[in-house]
Amino acid sequence: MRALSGVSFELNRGTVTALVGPNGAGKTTLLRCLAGLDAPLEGAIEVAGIDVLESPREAHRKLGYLSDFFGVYEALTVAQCLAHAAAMQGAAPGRVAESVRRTALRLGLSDRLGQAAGTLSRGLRQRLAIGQALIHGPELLLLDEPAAGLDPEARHALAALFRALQDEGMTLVVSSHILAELDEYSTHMLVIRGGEVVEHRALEGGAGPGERRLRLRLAAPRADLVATLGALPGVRVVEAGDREAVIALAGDEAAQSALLATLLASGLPVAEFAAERENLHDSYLRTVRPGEERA
Amino acid sequence: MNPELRRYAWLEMGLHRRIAAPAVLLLVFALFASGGDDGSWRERLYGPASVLTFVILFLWGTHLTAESVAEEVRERTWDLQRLSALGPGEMTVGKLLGAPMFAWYAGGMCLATMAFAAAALPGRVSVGWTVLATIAGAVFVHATALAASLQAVHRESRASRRLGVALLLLPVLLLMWVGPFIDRGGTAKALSWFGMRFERLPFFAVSMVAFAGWAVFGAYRSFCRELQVRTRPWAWPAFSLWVAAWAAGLAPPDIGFARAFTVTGLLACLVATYVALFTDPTTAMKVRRVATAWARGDRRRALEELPLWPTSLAPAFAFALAAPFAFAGVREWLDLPDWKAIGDFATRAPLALAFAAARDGAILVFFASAAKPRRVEGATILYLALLWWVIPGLLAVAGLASVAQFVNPFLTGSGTTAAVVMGAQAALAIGLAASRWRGNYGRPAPR
Repeated sequence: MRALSGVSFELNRGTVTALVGPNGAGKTTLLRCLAGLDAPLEGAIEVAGIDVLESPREAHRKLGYLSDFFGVYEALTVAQCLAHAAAMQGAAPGRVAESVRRTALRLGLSDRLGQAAGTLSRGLRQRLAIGQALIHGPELLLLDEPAAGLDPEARHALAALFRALQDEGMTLVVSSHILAELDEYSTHMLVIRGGEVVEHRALEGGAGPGERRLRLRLAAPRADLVATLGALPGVRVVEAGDREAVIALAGDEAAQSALLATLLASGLPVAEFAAERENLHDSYLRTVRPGEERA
Repeated sequence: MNPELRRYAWLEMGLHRRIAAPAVLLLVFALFASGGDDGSWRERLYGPASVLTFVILFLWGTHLTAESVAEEVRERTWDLQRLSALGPGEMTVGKLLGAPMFAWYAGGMCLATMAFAAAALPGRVSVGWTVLATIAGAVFVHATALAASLQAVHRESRASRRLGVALLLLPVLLLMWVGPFIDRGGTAKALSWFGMRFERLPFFAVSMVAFAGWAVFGAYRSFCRELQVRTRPWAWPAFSLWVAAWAAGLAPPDIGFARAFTVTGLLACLVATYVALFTDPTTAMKVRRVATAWARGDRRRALEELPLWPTSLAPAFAFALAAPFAFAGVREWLDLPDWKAIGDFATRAPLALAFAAARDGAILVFFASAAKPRRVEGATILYLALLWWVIPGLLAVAGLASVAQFVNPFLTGSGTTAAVVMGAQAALAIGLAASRWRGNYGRPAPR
């Protein structure tokens, strides 16, 4: 029996992909294959233009990986752990100290640099492990259950960190059972089940490439809402009633602002007009439910 | 600086340890130097310094090296190591010199003391060669322990621990080998190697350097596998052939190199096959990787995925087939009355031995191909013991010696019979293993 079969997908740079699926679906195996820790029976894996299976050492300079069962060198200090990780990833000796300082600052470990890793709390150890995975500035960061065992505050900080990394152009793949947590920062969803990719798509729901998904709610019902929206340039109606509508708008925030002005000018009693992100939990259930019914 | 070396320096070479080790050793040596009245104070240091060198450098250093990888696995930091951008060469150097760093620090001081004392023992030992042999011997056992530890990394922890204990016995065996060279007067005795005369101790020291080189290369290749760096499987058979050539050189010159090399080659390759069979994991998935690569015509990949034991079994068959030719003129130097029977056995038994190794390898693959394989090596050893000794012994005791010969055909005394029967057993074992593997793992994967 294969852990993975027929898996094929591409990740766009700067995206955060939520890797979701039931226990035993093959999520960890997939992440380990992407990281070059396990080799698939057949197929190819490419990270930032490097063939992971042919040149795993080169690929490791481009990626970081946090295992769900990670460990840290408990006898070393936080600074030594980070310096060791940087050096192991080929950081130039002159840049190691700066990498340690910057990573510690980013992870909130600056005041712990002299503390032995073995004396850290679970949350701080998790942060240190994440710091070790990203200290060399990888283009792809793979995280297997990164928030397991963290308290709500630490999870929130972690989500903020992932959003910051995404803003810097890093690509992240995050596996977790806690969908609400993934919902905070994921841009894409990769559903895996029985070792096969069930779905891989952006989380903007009905919106296509270059489109923004927007929800419009009126203060009072208007029978002509659908017709009015449909007549507007760049607007595609995803779903609509006489009081609420979800539309896909081609364009950026300026286009969104212009559309709001047009709607108000047309006399629509707009009560709410905001970008809508698809709920990951609902999306996941929608994706796997047909499978469950078949089973 | 190698990052792994630096990490071990942080861990092992704290200020306290750097000061405490020489202080304690100084006290111990002062105690021995001041006590007793046999020889000078300097001569009295030789014994305790030798023992401490052995204990610290060989026993403790080997233990530290063998534990280095097991500890990483236990502490869940092994993936961090495997994810590094360091190559297998840097990792080998880092672990090999880093893990036993403190043993080298303290053992090095003991070795220096031993050399200092040995210089006061005129005519007994050659200090330079002894030091070289000791250092090379330590590198040899450390590298062997590291390679064995890497081979065992995916095994159950208990097995790894047993392996570590077994490896600790290796230096003892080594000392038993070194002892005679030194006690007999070291440089005074000479030996013949490929017809050339060498003094024993220098020969041993240089040989140990070569063995240490092979062991370090073995650790490097084991790291290649762990780090997913692909290699072609030439190193293991090359090492077997090197051992065979080295040992053939020690044979009496009148035997002839070809004959000696045929015998040592066959033995070295067979031993290498069995060692690899029980140290390099052969799993059903590994077999599948080979089969899949071969089926799509990727011969290079198929060779890269090949387990170690077939790579030494293949030259074993070559030596077995060459044996009849190498021993064609054996009567010239083997002056025995019943030449026909012995000659027949000597020329055909090698082929039977090679078939036996193939059968035993197939038995291991059979157990590895179970739907849920467990304790593959243990089950294989049990069945090999049954086939080689237990069942033939019971049959012989029951008066069924003729039947026992079909189980262990070497009992027949006929090389030809042994080759035919063992060939049939090998074919049967291969057939059963292939059938079981196809049934459990050979089905095309769903698309």
